[in-house]
Amino acid sequence: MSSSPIAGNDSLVAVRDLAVRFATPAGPVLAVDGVSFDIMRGETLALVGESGSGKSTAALALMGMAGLSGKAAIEGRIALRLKKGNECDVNRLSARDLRQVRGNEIAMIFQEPMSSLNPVYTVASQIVEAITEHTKTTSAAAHARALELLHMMGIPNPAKCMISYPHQLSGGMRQRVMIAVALSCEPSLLVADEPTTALDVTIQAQIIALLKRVQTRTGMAILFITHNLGLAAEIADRAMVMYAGRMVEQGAVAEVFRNPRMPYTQVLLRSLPRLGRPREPGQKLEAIPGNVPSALKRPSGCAFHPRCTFMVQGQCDEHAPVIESCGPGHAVACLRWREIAAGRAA
Amino acid sequence: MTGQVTVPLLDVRSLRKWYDIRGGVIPHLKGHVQAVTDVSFEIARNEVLGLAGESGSGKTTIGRCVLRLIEPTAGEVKFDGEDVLGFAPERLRRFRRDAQIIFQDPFSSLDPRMTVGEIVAEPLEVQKLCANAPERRDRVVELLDTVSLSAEYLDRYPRALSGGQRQRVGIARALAVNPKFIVADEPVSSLDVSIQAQVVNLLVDLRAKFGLAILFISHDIAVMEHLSDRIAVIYLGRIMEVGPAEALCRDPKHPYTEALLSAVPDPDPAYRRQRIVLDGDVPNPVNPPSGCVFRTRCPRAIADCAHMVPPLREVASGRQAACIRL
Ligand SMILES: Nc1ncnc2c1ncn2[C@@H]1O[C@H](COP(=O)(O)OP(=O)(O)OP(=O)(O)O)[C@@H](O)[C@H]1O
Ligand SMILES: Nc1ncnc2c1ncn2[C@@H]1O[C@H](COP(=O)(O)OP(=O)(O)OP(=O)(O)O)[C@@H](O)[C@H]1O
Ligand code: SF4
Ligand SMILES: [Mg+2]
Ligand SMILES: [Mg+2]
Repeated sequence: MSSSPIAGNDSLVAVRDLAVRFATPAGPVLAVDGVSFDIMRGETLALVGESGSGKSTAALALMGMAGLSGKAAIEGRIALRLKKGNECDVNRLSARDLRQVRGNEIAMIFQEPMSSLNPVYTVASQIVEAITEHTKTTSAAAHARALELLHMMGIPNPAKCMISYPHQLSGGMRQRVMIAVALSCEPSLLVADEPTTALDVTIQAQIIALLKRVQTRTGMAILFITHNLGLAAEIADRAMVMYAGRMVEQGAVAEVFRNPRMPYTQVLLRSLPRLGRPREPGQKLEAIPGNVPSALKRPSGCAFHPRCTFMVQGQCDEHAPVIESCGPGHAVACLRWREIAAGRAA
Repeated sequence: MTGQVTVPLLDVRSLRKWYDIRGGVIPHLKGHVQAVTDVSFEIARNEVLGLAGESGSGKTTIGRCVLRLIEPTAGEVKFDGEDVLGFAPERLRRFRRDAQIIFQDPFSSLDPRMTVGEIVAEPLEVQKLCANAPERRDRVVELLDTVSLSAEYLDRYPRALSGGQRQRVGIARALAVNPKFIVADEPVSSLDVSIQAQVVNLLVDLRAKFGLAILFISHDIAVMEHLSDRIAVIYLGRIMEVGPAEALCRDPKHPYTEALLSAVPDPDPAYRRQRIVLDGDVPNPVNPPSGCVFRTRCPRAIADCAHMVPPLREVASGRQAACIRL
């Protein structure tokens, strides 16, 4: 066994060759296909990709939860540095240890807060339970802490919110409550899976401002999952792009969005309508041909090859590109990235 | 002004739709959801008007009222100068041919038991637009071709199509009857990012090719700017601002438009706007604030904002906004 990928550096999490395979009636689905990445302490890593690209599955694996939604075979290594300073492999923890890691070390928030809030309990009892499950606290102290958390979430009337049931709150308020629950034990990593996708942009702006404020205060790291490239660019330090279960590009946000190297990232960025750009009347967007591949039938070679304008037959459809460094801290999976970057590819 | 007065294709005046709320042990009227109040706008022939606003602001309600898929509580809707709300059933049927709708959700808006061919043929049959079956089939193939689907899709069922393909079938169905006007209610919102551009481009083409007028409903203002000639920004059932798309997005006048645009994230830091984070939530439309409905969240509100509903008025050349501070 190789030495720990996080020994002697500033990584909080180091994921190596993560693969998650689901058994389904229609056949095996390789939802995550050999993904490696690190999350540094206190940083925000954005995980971007389209529907079905494997973002949620990768995140759930990080929490030791990928197996919960179905029959899953999980391979690879997920090294996590614990608060006490020692480390563990999430993929090899007992159920009991996993429960301690979840909530205490890593917490997760979802797109739909109702999926993690219990509709029959008040906000107060859910936060108090989250606190007392992981720490030895009196219920009075937990109650006080819950109130403080709601206050920190910018909820206008925390006392009233405490005695409310989730369905009595607006979408934005529920999201704040879910964040409060997630933060109750001061995790060192918050996994946020499309936490603002269902919200209006003005409410999204509130939640993003809130997450940034909390991060500055607590120094936690965030894995922020989104299909919105603009949002990723805005919230994250680094970004990682997934396509059809694989990681295809990774790097500092400014690099990935300014000098994308993977054809998929490039064309995706060009296909987005952007506000306030000069344009001709009737001007078209650059459309990406074809469809997002089905998880049951992933294309051979580079999974993007059927939609890629740089595709070379006999190469791209036969050989899966490996991740290569293409600049400081910038990595890409494309057989032709050098030619494309040099403008020599047609 | 001299010269010919052209009648707009669609002319909406003081539209109101309040939904009744009933309840209690002995059901009685308990109040109203004030979904749309005093909304007026025009759409010219071959013009795309974007209707921007957040969830619950009344966009879908407006779209359905102008097509008379639901009955407005009050107001006037004129199509080609004729009073839509006064149409008798036969005239309404003809109107339904001229004015079509495309829905947000390509998954639920197509009947799963019908093939693509049957779905697109249905309006042709209902409106008796083809003399016989072979003619109808040719027309269906032609329509599918218009939306870049080959004839091989004729016998497929919706479940065997991707989201973008389903949305294109929905568009082909809407085009079947040669409409002059289409309400497109969030037509790309449920699509994958890499597929959205295909459908947006299709709408750009169709508009040019058929001279269509479109009421384009979306909460994605960047897509809207791309597609629309003018944009109307709506908040809690009222129009806050209306103006040419490009000018409105570059230089918003109303404080709400300003905040809305500032909240749109952009991948390019050079284009990042100074974020204006609004406090609180959108108020409940059952009991909207007095005066300006935006005042409870408006960074520029003053005491007077509570006292009167600001009318939509010209605030700069070609620009209208409803705000007393402008
Ligand atoms: N429990 C499961 N059983 C079978 N297949 C699954 C399961 N969970 C996920 N998948 C499949 O794995 C693939 C990746 O799914 P995942 O939810 O991780 O994608 P995602 O990137 O989060 O997409 P979205 O943006 O839609 O949330 C998909 O094809 C999905 O259908
Ligand atoms: N049939 C109905 N009965 C009662 N209230 C309704 C009905 N339909 C809509 N509403 C309410 O009217 C208001 C406007 O709804 P509408 O669907 O027009 O908004 P929208 O702008 O289209 O929102 P979204 O972006 O979420 O689609 C909302 O408060 C909604 O809850
Ligand atoms: S490997 Fe080939 S098909 Fe894949 S992105 Fe690069 S050029 Fe395109
Ligand atoms: Mg997901
Ligand atoms: Mg709607």
